[in-house]
Amino acid sequence: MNSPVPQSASAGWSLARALADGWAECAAGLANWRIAHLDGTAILRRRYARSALGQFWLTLSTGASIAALGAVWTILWKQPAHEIFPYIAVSMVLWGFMNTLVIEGANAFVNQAHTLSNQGLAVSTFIYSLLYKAVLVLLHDAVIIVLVLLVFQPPIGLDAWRFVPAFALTLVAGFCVSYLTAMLCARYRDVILLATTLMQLMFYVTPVLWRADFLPAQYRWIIEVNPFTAFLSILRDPLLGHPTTAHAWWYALAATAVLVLATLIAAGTVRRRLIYWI
Amino acid sequence: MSGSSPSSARIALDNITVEFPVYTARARSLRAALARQLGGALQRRENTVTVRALHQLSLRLEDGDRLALVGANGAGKTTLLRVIAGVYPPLAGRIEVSGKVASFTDLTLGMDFEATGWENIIYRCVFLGLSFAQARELAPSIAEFTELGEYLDVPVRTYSQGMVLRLAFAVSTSIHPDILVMDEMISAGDPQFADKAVRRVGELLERSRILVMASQVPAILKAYCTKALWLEHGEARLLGPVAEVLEQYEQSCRMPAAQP
Repeated sequence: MNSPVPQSASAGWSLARALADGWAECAAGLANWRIAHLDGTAILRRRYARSALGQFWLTLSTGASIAALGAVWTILWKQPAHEIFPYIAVSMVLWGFMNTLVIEGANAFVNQAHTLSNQGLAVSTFIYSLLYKAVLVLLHDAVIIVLVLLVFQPPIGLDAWRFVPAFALTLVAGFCVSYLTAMLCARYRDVILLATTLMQLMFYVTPVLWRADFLPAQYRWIIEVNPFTAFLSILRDPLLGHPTTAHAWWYALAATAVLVLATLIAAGTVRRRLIYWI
Repeated sequence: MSGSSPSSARIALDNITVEFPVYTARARSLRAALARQLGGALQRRENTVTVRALHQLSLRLEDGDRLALVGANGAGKTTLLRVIAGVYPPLAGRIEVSGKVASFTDLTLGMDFEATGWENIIYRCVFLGLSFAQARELAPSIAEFTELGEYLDVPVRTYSQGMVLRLAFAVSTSIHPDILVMDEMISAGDPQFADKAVRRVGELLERSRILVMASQVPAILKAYCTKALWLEHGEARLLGPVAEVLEQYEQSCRMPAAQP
């Protein structure tokens, strides 16, 4: 059958064991890739079943808000259109992706309570399916990025390849953030609401709609300690032909390493108790 | 079925205990949890009540065993089924289950009611552990068994409850598990279909090595099971041949005064 939670006799907690158990849990979830695929595409299937444009309706609405925001920046604040449009388009689409991983991660286990209590499945299966769905939606929204880049032609150089490792790193970090949020929200239900509020707040303190250089120097530390800034920067800069600071790369790498460790330890530690929470 | 089955199936439970924490709204709140940490140890655990579902239960099942679970509501039958299915890891004791387990506590698990009957045959098969290729290969024979004909081309949400059950039943009984876990005997609705369904369940049971079934219907338990376990308040009260255990259980049901 499908990979269930690996079972072993209970004993005391040790770091090595928590890491090994967490790793086994993540591997068991990956082995259920077929279920993750079916679950991850369910929403998209439904959208396409009901209308010919399917998910692109939502892409259109994202596109409309990008056009409106770009117009505001250009007309009201006299920013050059060829700079601000690509910046906002890329930022908004990438932020939408990161936002989904946190907000939907909050409900990832709670929403699957019925399935998880009737079938011995590795819970991480539903984190993979969430990540997969978010990537598919991102691919739809990427149409906007491609169009905007074609129209405004920012000076993209050979450095654009750096988007690939940046995206891979973001996927790993995103998996961890979703998983951690899902575990926390399974235990503490008030965090589900907190996550939405927190992400709204992060949206304002992260340079998504505004640029880092608008900020007076004495407030720069706000964005420098914000991990979302680092990930947004390593993803966005290659697509816009901007240079990425080494600080952003190191910060993103370090954050990912910490997240991976935290996720493995947490997943291994709560593995046997998680199902009783949901 | 993909992968290699072990040469024999086995279930070994040693002194397992399962407890459910029942959280109050306060215990569900991170804010309250943080406040408790600050407030000292005095009220640390007041918000969590645990319900003991299984207590120091041991059980050994081998190839060919057909176990019936009997007991009053809340005795722990469903919990035990879910422990064997790998849903609830016991908090104390050892558990060893070798062989592919198919859990039939909800036959529609993995189905998407927005999708067509055909698609759902594939989805349910995959959920039960088949590959997409194996599912597609099996689909025509499953479809034939359902007798749903053209209905298979429309979304399942338009089906009647009986039709959904028939579809779920047909797919679920098409697999080859080593260990079969059932909460009540599965069946599929209307009388003209029932005979076919009974035969199909019979074939499924022949293919499986171990059966664990909870039911409140003695006739069904006697027909399909050889052993029986009587659970009371999460503890094993009696384990033995099905006829013997059922007789004693029924006797105790008739004499409600004989509470321990």
